[in-house]
Amino acid sequence: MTVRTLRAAITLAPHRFLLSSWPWRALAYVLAGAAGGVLLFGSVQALSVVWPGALRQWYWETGLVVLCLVLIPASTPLVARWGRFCEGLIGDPLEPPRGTGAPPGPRGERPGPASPRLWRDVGYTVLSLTVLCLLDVAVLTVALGVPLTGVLSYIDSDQLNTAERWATLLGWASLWLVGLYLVAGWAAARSEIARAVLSPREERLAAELRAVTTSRAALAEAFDEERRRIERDLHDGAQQRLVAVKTSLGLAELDLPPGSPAAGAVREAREQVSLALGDLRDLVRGIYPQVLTERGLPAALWDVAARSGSSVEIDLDLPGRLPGPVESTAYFVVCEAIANAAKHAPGAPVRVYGTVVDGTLRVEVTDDGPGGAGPDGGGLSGLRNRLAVLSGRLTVDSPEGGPTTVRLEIPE
Amino acid sequence: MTRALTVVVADDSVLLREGVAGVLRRFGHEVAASVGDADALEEAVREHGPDLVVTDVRMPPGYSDEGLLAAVRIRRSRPDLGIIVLSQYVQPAYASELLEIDAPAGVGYLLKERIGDVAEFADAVAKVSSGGTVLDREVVRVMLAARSSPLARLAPREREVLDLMARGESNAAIARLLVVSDAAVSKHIGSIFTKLDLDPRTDGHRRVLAVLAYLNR
Repeated sequence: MTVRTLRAAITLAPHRFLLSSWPWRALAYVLAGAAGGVLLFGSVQALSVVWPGALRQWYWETGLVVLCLVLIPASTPLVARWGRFCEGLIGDPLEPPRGTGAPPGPRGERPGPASPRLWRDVGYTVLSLTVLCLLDVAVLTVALGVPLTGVLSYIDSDQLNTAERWATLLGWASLWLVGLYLVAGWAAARSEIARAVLSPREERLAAELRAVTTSRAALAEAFDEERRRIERDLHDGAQQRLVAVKTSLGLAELDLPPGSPAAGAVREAREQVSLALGDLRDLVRGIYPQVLTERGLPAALWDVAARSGSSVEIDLDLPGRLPGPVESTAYFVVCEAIANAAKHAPGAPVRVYGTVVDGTLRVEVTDDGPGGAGPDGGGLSGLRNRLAVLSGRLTVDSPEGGPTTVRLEIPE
Repeated sequence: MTRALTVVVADDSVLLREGVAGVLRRFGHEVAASVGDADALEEAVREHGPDLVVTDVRMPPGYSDEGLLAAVRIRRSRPDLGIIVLSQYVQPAYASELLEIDAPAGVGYLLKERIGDVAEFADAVAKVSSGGTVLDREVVRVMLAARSSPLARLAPREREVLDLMARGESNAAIARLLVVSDAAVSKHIGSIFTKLDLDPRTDGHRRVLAVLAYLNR
C-alpha cells in the first residue's frame, strides 16, 4: 500500500520513514510556511535598521493598520494559493484548480466578495502570517537549531579527546533525527489546521465524490471499450486465420481422391475447424455483440430473442439511437433477465417491452413463470453496479405464482 | 461445369482475399480485382464491369458495415450484378437489409467461413450469378429457432422446405433433396404461404424476401 499522506508516513517504521522522502517534504512544507512570516518580520527588522526610530513613531501604528487593511487582502490570493500548493507536498492535493477537473458549482459560482471561500482564504492568510508562522519558526529553531548549536560548540572543542568529541558530536547530530520527527509532527498538525480553514470537510467530500463519480463512469466506459476491442481482435485475428485454414483444407480435399483415407482425414479436420469457428462466434457475441454497435438496441435484442431457448417477444418503441453506455447497459440487463427466465421458467413466454418517457429509457422483461425470484437473481446484482453508474434503477417484482417482471430505468 | 465468371473480391484481410480468390479460380472463374476497402470496391466495379462481387461486411475505414452499404449502393447502379456479402457472423437484420433491394439479380449472404466449404461456396456463387438468392443456413437456423415466430405453426416438413427455400434452392432441387415429388413441394410451399398469410404467387428472390420481411416485422 503506497503512503499518500505525511500523517500515514509518520507511523511507518523509523528506518522506512527516515529513508523516505517524507521528512524532507515535511521540512520543505514548514520552511515554506515560515517563509511568508519571515519576509514580513524581516522587512520590519530591515525598516528598523534603515530607520532606527521607526518603531517608536506614531505612524508605525498607522502603518500597522494600513498593513492589515491593504497588505492582507492584497496578499490573500497569493498566500492562499501558496498554502494550497504546499498542502500538496505532504498530502492529497486540495481541490483541483478551476477550469480543469471538477465542474463548477450549480450556478458556476466563483469566489466573489460574499463567497465563503474568499473569507476562508483571508482567514488562512491572517493565521498563516501570524500564529502558524511563529510556530513554524519556533519548531525549526528547536528541531534543527538546537542540535546545530550543540554540534557547532563541540566541533572545535579542545576540552575533550578525539574519541569523546566524536561521540558527543554524534550524539548532538542524532538529535536531528528526533528533530525531523518533530518537524514532521508539526507539519502534520499544521496541515490539519490549514486544511480545516482552506477546505472544510463537506466541501472536500463533495469534491471527492464528484471525482469518484467521474472516474467510475470513465471506468465503465473503458470496460465497454475494452470489450469491443477484444471482440474486434478475435474477429480480425483468430477467426480470420481459422477461416484461412478451413479454406486451405477445403481446397486440399478437392485434390484428393474422393473416399480415400486422406480425404476423410482432411474432411474431419475441416469439420473440427468449423466447430471451433462456431464456438468462437458464440464467445465473441457474448463479449460484445457487433450488431449493438452498428444497429442499436432493438436489432441486438431481436437477435438475442431469436437465439434464446424461450419464446421471446420484443416490443421496443425508441426514438432512435440511445447513448452508447445506455444501450450496452440495457442490453446486458435484458440479456440477463431473458437468460434467468429461460433458466427458472423454461418454456414460459417472455415479453420485452421498452419505451422512452421524459428522457428516461424504461424496459420491462416479463415472464409467466412460477415467480418467487430474489431481487438479485442470476447475474443481476453485478448489473446493478453498471446501472448505478448511469443513475439507473432496477426492480424485480416476482410474487409466488408469477409473473416475474424485471423493470429497468435509465435516464439519458 | 458452371460458366466462368468475372469476379471482384473485397476484404481487408489479404489472407481471406487470397482464400476467396483461390476458391474462385479453382472453379474456373476469373478474379478481375481483389481490393481492401469499400471505395476501392466501387472503383473496381466501375473499371472491370464484373459479373459478381464478393465482399466482406466489415472493412476500413470504420470497420463496421462499409461492405454491406457499398453492396447496396452498387446494386442501385448495377441492378444486374450478383452480390455475395460475407460476414464473420450472421445477422438476420443485415440479411433483410440486403434483400430489401428489389432487383432481379442474385444476392447471397453467407458466413465468411463458408468459403472453406468450397463445394457449397462454389454452388452459392453459381446460384447468385444466375439470379438466385442464397442465405447462410445459420441465418435460417436462427430464424427457425425463434419459437415465438409464426413458424411454430408450420409442420416439420414445411420447416424443412422453408429452410431449403431460404437457402436459394429451386422447387426441383428441394424435391430432389427431400426425395419427394415436385407436386409435393409445390403443395408444401402453398401451405407455408397460406399459414404465413403471404402471396403464394411470388417466386425466387421475392419469395425469400417475403418470408424474411414477414419474420422481421
